[in-house]
Amino acid sequence: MEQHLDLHFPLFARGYNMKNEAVYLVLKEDLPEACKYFVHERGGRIFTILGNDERQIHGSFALYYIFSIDSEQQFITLKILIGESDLTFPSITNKIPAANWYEREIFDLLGIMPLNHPSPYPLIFHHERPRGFYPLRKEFSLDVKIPHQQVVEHFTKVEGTGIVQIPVGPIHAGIIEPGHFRFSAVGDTVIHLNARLFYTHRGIEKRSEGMPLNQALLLAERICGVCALSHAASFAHAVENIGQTELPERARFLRTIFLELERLYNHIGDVGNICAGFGFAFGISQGSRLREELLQLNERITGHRYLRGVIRLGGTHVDLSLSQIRDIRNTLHRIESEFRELTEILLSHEIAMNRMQSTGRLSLSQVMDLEVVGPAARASGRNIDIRRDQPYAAYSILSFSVPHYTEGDVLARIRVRIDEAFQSFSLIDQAIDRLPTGKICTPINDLPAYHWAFGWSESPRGENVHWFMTGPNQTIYRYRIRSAAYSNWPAVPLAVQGNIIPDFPLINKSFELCYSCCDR
Amino acid sequence: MFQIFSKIWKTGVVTQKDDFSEAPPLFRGKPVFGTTACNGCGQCIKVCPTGAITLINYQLLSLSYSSCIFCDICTGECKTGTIQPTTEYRLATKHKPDLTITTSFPQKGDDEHVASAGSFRPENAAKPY
Amino acid sequence: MLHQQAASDRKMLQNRIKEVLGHSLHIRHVDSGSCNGCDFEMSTLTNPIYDIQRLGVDFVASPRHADMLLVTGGVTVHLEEALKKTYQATAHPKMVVAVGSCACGGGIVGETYANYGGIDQIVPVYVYIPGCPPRPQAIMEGILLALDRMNEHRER
Repeated sequence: MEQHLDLHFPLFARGYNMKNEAVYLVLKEDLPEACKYFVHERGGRIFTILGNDERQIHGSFALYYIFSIDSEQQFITLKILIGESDLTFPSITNKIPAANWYEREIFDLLGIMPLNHPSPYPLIFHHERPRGFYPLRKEFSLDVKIPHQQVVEHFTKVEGTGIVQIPVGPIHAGIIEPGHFRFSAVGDTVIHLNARLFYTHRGIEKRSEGMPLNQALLLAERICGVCALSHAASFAHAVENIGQTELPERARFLRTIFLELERLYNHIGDVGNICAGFGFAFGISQGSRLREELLQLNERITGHRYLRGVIRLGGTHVDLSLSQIRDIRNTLHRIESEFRELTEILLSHEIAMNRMQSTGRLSLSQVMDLEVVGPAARASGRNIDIRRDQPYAAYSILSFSVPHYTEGDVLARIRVRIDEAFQSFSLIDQAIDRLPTGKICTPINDLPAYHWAFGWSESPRGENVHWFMTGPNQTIYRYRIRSAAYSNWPAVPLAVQGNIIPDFPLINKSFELCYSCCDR
Repeated sequence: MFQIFSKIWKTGVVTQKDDFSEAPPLFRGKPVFGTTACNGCGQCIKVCPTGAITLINYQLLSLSYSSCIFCDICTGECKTGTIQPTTEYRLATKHKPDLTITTSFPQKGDDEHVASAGSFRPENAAKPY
Repeated sequence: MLHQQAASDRKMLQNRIKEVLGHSLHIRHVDSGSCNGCDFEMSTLTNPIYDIQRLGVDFVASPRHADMLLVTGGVTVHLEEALKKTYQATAHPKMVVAVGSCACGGGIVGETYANYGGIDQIVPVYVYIPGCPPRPQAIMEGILLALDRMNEHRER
């Protein structure tokens, strides 16, 4: 098959593209076959799928299907061109369910229709898809608001005696982000859950078009509050991949330290937060206290509690002095032992364990089908971690293990987080020990116009993939953000099925997904 | 149970005593206009990612905290040191106009120094990006 | 000096709450399309280090129980209706506090096809708290200011 592809479709010149990315130009009709080949036979997984309005460049739209083949440390990009006369493409969702959201988003924002899609409902829009409203087309002006849509509910209806529907949200009872959940339940047991997201869709991808790269970095930091650094790192990684900029050694280590600090405050905060799911006040207050101490550490060493403004294109903006390193060491040393005490108490607490065990189970086959990433995937036995599989920053030099479990319940997800937090302590320690001297930032090369690349990083919730194409004069032509939350959200309703409604907050918290990352 | 009590006892009271303590020295607080006069290069207007820095009638340079994201890029760009970084974080106000500060912007050709640097025209960089 | 200042500030905040709302102020948080940075800063207010409950301030589950709405984010088109309804559901006298740059003036996202860029286009705002995100202490200061304003509002 690959020979077939090689022979029949010209391989793009790899000179400007990333060195481990093979690009195939595929005909529309061949797309499902090609996707099936790379996913089912070569063991690839969907990295990101996007549509791009390239009519200004060569007169047609283009779709990109990017697969990561972890075992070979390779990426495969399939590119198909779509002429304006026939704005359709064959859907692959029937064969590869994980493509569901990507294809619907292409329909919503670009108006290119997936043929034979099993559930072709709008994703970004909540009701009827507004006619002729395709914001990602280039002729579309940024400030034309989404028109009023005819109210249609696209929720799956569950019928039968004793079945009640319980609507929740978008404004929730706690301090959390907006999303609408529609439970179909019998008594306490959830039969089906519909999640309507994309309430916080701000149009960031459209906003970035035409932005200079260094300002787009600031925008990338503001996609999400608590994954700010990994989004910035992914974007910077993409820029460095296009320009083939080699990071200074010190910058690679500094990025690793900051990325792990971000993972730490998230994971420790999550372990505390999960206690709120079963009213374990001791855990909530200890967890939030440790998290706050980490945030204050971040503020002392970088000037921002959520590590914004730390990354610059071509390196980092913040350097660590000896006294700051001592500060990190002392603080983390103390927090590590306190966190160990907390986890020992939590994991030996009968009620806590009772609530977490066998709750919200996600099977390995569900995880594989939906291409779940991050701690949620590792808790169900899918052993992927982009830090190890496609190393970036200094992860290829440092040693760490990737904890994974097979149970796939709330407890397994919490255990993954706890283990990962201890790995992060060790990674920061190693990185500090081996921190080389030298420059922390190097100027990036001028980027040629209309070339693309992608960057990635493992955020606390899984991998973030940022794809972008350059425009003229070091600006952005198209920016596609695929966060970990975007991959994982479709799995949450599956994990809830068969559980009782009071367990929903617990299950939701065990995934700890951002809404803003997903909605953009 | 004993473990929980012992941990609570060991932790003690952690609540901050000082509600409005100063932010650490690296904190990026509000940028302010210092005492040095602006030379009219317009660089800050160009680099501001949110369009928080604007020019009013070619005479006043204005900075609005309501759209500022405190990235501190303008303070790094400002050659004359007119825009100064601070660690001040207490910005809450009831009146939105309080969030805008201004300083005088030299008109083109005021003196030699300005004539060389002050070639900035907002038409060329009026959009935030 | 600073300590004295802080002590007097704290006193003042407590006094205002006492004067205006008895011993308690109830807050409802509304996310109108933020990046969740401000939301997390708001939730840190309830952790043992800031512990805003000691000042008689608490977060409640429904706008019908609330005296104050803390709104984050620049109002997305999808959340416009939710924000309006929440505002209407809040009992009088009520006040709205805009938390963060997006809520105050749009921030970096600004006005797009799906975002209004500032909550004062949709609901009246009493206090603005800029910051990206504002530190927890800054949010506390904003609450203090709003209470002052609340008094004025009542007298009118």
